[in-house]
Amino acid sequence: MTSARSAMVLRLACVMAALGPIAWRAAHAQEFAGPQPAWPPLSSASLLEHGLPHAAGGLDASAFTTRWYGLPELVTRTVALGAGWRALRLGLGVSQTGEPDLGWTALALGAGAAGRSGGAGVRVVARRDRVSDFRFDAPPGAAGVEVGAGVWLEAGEGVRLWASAPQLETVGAAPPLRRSLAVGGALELGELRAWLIRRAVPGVERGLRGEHVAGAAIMGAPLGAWLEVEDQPLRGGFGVVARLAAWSVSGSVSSHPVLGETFRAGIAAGGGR
Amino acid sequence: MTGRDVRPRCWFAVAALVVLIAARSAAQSLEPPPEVPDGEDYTADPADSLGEGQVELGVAASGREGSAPSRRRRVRYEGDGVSASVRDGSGDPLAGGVIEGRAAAGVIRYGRLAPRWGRGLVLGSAAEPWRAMPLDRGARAAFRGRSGEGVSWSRGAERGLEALYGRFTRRDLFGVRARERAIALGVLADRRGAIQPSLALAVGRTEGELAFDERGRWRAEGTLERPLGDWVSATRVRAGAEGFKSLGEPIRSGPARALTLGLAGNTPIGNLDALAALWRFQPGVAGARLGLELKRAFAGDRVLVIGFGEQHGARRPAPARPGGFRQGGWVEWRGVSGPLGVGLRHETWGRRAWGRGLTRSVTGVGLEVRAGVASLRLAHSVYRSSSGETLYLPEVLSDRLVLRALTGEGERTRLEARLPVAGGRVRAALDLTHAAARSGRTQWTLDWSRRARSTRARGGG
Repeated sequence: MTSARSAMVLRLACVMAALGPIAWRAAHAQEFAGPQPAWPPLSSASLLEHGLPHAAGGLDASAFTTRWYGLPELVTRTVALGAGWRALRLGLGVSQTGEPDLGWTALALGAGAAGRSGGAGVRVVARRDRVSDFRFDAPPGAAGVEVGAGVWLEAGEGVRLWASAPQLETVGAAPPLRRSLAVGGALELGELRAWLIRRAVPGVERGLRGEHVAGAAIMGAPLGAWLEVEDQPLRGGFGVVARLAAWSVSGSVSSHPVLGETFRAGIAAGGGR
Repeated sequence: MTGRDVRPRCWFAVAALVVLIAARSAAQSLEPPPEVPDGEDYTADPADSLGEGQVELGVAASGREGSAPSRRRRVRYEGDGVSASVRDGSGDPLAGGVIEGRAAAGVIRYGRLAPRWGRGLVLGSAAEPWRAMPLDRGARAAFRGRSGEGVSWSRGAERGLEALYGRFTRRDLFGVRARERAIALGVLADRRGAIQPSLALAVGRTEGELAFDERGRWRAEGTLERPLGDWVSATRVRAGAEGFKSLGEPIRSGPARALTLGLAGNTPIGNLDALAALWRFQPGVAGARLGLELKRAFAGDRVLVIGFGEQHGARRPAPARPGGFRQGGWVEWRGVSGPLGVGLRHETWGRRAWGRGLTRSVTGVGLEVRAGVASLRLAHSVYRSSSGETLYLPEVLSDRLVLRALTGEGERTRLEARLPVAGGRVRAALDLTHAAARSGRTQWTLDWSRRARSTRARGGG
């Protein structure tokens, strides 16, 4: 196995080379970020992506695709399944990103507990490139694992606070994106929701000055919509969701002044709203 | 009151933050005392106490990447008018012992000493202008300090006498002090003939001290706390010669002149704690500080804290750290919901107004999940400090508080599990530090402790 094959970060770097270093701070989501508003966690995908379990129990399943920055060669396809029994939440997901000779596969597991007033969860994501044969004795660096956690709590009537540290520890090959601590707060007034998120971005200029996301959503039935604005650089996006019984279809677009648009579309069953 | 009782009521993982709040005064963060070299960790011993007839045993092992494990042991006992504590361990900054008991018509204490006379001008550390009192000196301190090793004897409360002999800051000191109600007169001397008399006054919340050295240089400090309706005001004034140095703890002598005004009380939106301080060590080495902190408690053990601070000038007589203008703020929230406790905190300081020109920034989150007597804690912080600046992250360990010195940029994660084992409690902790300037550093700690009542206490004898 060549070193080029074993280091996933180099593979992604080939793709990211066209995007420039700014891409590393433009995208804070990875494979399991579906077309959902940043708050609240609606399905097991949130547990897998952020470590934030959703309040609704039962079974849920979602499948979605993401086309990053309008690049057809950088598409992520994801399936996530979840189960909730009483306060326990479990999630399992798999995704593939990129072309067969330049992409990677991710397997995610999440576990946590949640109720109406709070929840906490842990996530484990393992990645390996798509061209290496599967072997249990794969050399170090052929695969990468990241472990993270998240927590949310009801701070008051209609007020939620949360924190997510999706990469508390990484082992093996570096993940495609470095994600640090994010802290958020949301106000919920019936079907109207508004949120503010602050993300630490170590390793780049301005570093812990942080980046901020503000968003608002109207999550009614059968339709819902949300809008988000981010800084550094100033950019935004929106999304819509249509529901019918336990099923929902959703899509979102987020634009970047340099990198272009990222599209997400998916279908889900179960979960919250 | 048992040791468990004096622990913060909010037990969740951000206990470090809770201690930070509990131990600080007037909107000031915890930081090491002046004698701790810049950039080094500081370890403090919380001043909890055992119940009558209780014994505490503890053993611990810890290690870090690339070094051999180290072991620590501790034993404490309290009962029958005697209290004793022994700590042992290679490289343990808290290693040592102390025994205290009734003898010779008084109370004798042998071992680690951290006495405080009056306002601490001669013995026991003068408070920094932005604090009401040092955190680790005297009987009322939040932490057990170690200003010297030796023996002390005291007798009586309102009318009393005390004497001590010990080694303080590399010299042998002898002191005698007499109290007559509100007035206390003491003398501290060393082998070379240096003498510092101290006259102290304490009437309720009003305290004062006047001290001289052998050359006739003097220093005086007074503090006055008064209620103003629902508010409490505090005024502290210090004056004297710049050359005066405390015989007991010269490094902690503090500025020669200082004026501090504090105000605390309830407002419609929460409890406000305000402080303004001016000080001067010597001509050209002066400083000022302003602090405001608003604390609002909500139903269900939820607390929101918002603070603002501004500082000018030097905080040390020969500042190792960069001085000048600093302005910053902090926001903290913590709450408990069922078995889940969460705390969030963000603090940032900068060289320019509104926190621009970043010098220090730290964002932290802590959570604890509790199931019966077992618990799992996770704390994660992301930090950054500019060149020459050190930030201190408080971490509550099983038997100590550590102010972890961090520089540069990085992330720190602490995972801790507590389980009941063999009649005691095991704490297993893993610390992961990822700093931009160096590769990841892993530390681990395994600690077992048990508190039990002695046989004599159980038998009523």
